[in-house]
Amino acid sequence: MRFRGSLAGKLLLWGVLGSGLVLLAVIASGYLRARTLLEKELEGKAVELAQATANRMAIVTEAMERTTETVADIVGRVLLPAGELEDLLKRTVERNPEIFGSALVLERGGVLPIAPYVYRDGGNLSTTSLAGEAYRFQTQDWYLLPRYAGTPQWSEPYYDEGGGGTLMATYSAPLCSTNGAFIGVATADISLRWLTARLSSLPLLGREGFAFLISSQGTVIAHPDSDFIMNETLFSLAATWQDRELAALGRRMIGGERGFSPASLAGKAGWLAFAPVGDTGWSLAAFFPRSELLRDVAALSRAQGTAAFAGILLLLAVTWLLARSVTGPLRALDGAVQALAGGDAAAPLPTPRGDDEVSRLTASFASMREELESYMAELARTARARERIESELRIGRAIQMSLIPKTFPPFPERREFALHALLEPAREVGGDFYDFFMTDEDHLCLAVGDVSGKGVPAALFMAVTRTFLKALSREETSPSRILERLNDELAEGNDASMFVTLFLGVVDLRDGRLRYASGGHPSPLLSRPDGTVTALPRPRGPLVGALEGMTFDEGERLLLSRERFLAFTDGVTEAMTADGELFGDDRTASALSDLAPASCREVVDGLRRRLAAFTGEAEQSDDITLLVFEYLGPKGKAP
Amino acid sequence: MKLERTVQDDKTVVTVVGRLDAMTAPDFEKESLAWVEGGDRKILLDLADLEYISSAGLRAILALAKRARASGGAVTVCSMKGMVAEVFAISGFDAFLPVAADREGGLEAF
Repeated sequence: MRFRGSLAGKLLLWGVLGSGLVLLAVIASGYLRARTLLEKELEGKAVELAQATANRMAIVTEAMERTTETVADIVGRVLLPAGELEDLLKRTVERNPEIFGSALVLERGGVLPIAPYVYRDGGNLSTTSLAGEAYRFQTQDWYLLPRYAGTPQWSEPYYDEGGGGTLMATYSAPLCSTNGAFIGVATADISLRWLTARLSSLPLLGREGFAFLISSQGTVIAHPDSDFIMNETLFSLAATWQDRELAALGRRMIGGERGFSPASLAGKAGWLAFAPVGDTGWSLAAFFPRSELLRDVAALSRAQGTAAFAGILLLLAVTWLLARSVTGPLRALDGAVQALAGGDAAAPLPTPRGDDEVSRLTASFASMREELESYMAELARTARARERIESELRIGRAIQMSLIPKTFPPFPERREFALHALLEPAREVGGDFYDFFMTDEDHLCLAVGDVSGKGVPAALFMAVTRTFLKALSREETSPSRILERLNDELAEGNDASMFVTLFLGVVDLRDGRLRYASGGHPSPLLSRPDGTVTALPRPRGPLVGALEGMTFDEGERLLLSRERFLAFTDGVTEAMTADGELFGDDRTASALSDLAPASCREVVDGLRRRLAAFTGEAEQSDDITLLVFEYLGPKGKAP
Repeated sequence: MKLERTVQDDKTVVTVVGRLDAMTAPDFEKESLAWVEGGDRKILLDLADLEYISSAGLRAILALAKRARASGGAVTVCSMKGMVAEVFAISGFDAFLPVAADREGGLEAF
């Protein structure tokens, strides 16, 4: 099956394309709506979650703070021996799992400062002194901050080299004597590892979400990726990732704000919710990756997409089947029609099934073909008939033209007269003829006639007429007598009722005496040298050959020298313009008059030209015959 | 050409309207011979509305006249005008069949 050119292909293409686009739009809009809803929902929940987590962390730090302050309070007010102090620290660390280690620094006037430190070392508690030269607590933040601030302080996280030997942050509270003088600090450490473990133990954020803590300086304190801890600040990360928005968020976080914002971490898109952790100055951030949030939506969209794809496949199959059921008959019809167009009229048409458009088309095509076939047959029949008629007309015409004398001048040795004639056949109708011959040394017989009918029958009738005429004119000298006998001969057995109109004249060349008779034929026109034209009186006489026993009258006229007459057929006077106007007797007469000085040949040619000019474009409807005879005078007197 | 045929007693009057030429003559011949076959004997052709007649038309009328005569009947023509009258005059058709000036004359001629 050609795909692009076929109806089925188009149906498939557009059906699948259209439904595919609609489904795609539905799925996309569903996805977007779901995402928007989820984002809204997340915003509320995420901030709450971050705050709750921050609060839980704050519970830890606040407990540490209270413990530390209690220790500071006790140590400040009660003068305890060094061993007691260590015990106090041990108990403190033991009872508070969040505390990694705890230290005391006591500086009393005149006595060397003491600085016992108890910390977790594997499963046991270790005790050490931070008062040695190796450690120099006097330079540590945890000592300096509370000393100079006079209030408890959280230190920035640090690696406790020579102390706990781990990453930690320290809460330190100043020790004050009863009179309010600064006499040292009490501290509690929190291990960043513990903090991280604690943070990750909180039920938080699904599989890919995570929380992290940053200090008041932005340093990462707790993070699932331990490489970040202490090594990065949020701002250094923002710089690494070239993420200005993250830096802006970091500033909001260390400013103690809580909030929610889209953000991306390490190129991973999502949302960041953050909240401050108690009084620590820390900020807790919870990251929700977009991919996780939208996983369900994406899964739903994928499921919808799969269903849509399956639906489209189904649609494809149904469309294909439907298209095939429609275009199958169409293709069969197409094949048959092309065969028909290629000239195979007998090419079988597919049998129409059912009553749908295609079968109706097939049926009407079948009937059209039948009509076409019968029309073609009719056309062939008509063409054959026309050809037969035309060929008959052609044969008739050939016979007709072979019968008339066409050599001019016909009797060059005769000086008594001049003679010229013309027969111009029409395409269809016409049976004109003319003839002239000497019946003896002194008599010239002239005939102009028009046989009724056309084709071979008319031509044969003409031939018979001419033969009889020639024969009879040798036996009879009177034209009327000749016509009477000719009429009887032709009428005998003339079942077709054919006839001929005939002008017959016999001229005695010795004196110019013209005797003539007419068988239903127009009268010749007589022309004198001065241009006077008159019609020869028409003797009574009917059509020749129609009925036996007719009689014909005879006319007589003595032609003077240079007098001439024009015999013609009705093809001349009835020559017609396209508008149906006839050339008529008057135009014929005036043409003859105008041509008085001309020779016989010139009269014939001139008349013919006038006729042609008159009829113009109109087709010649009947034969045109012109015969001009001019008497020049008795023998020897001719010029 | 159109033929309008009415029968009055034993006479048939046919009005020939239009042109009677080589094109229409075969129709006229066919139809008119059917009248004779059908028993018409006295047929009057009223040619008042005949505009044109050619030799083929004359032949068709002649054929009808001959056929009617052979069956013991007769054909008369009447009311010719203009060109048609002229053609009848030139052809000497009055030698073959009775010609009347009008329909009344034609009917009386039988």
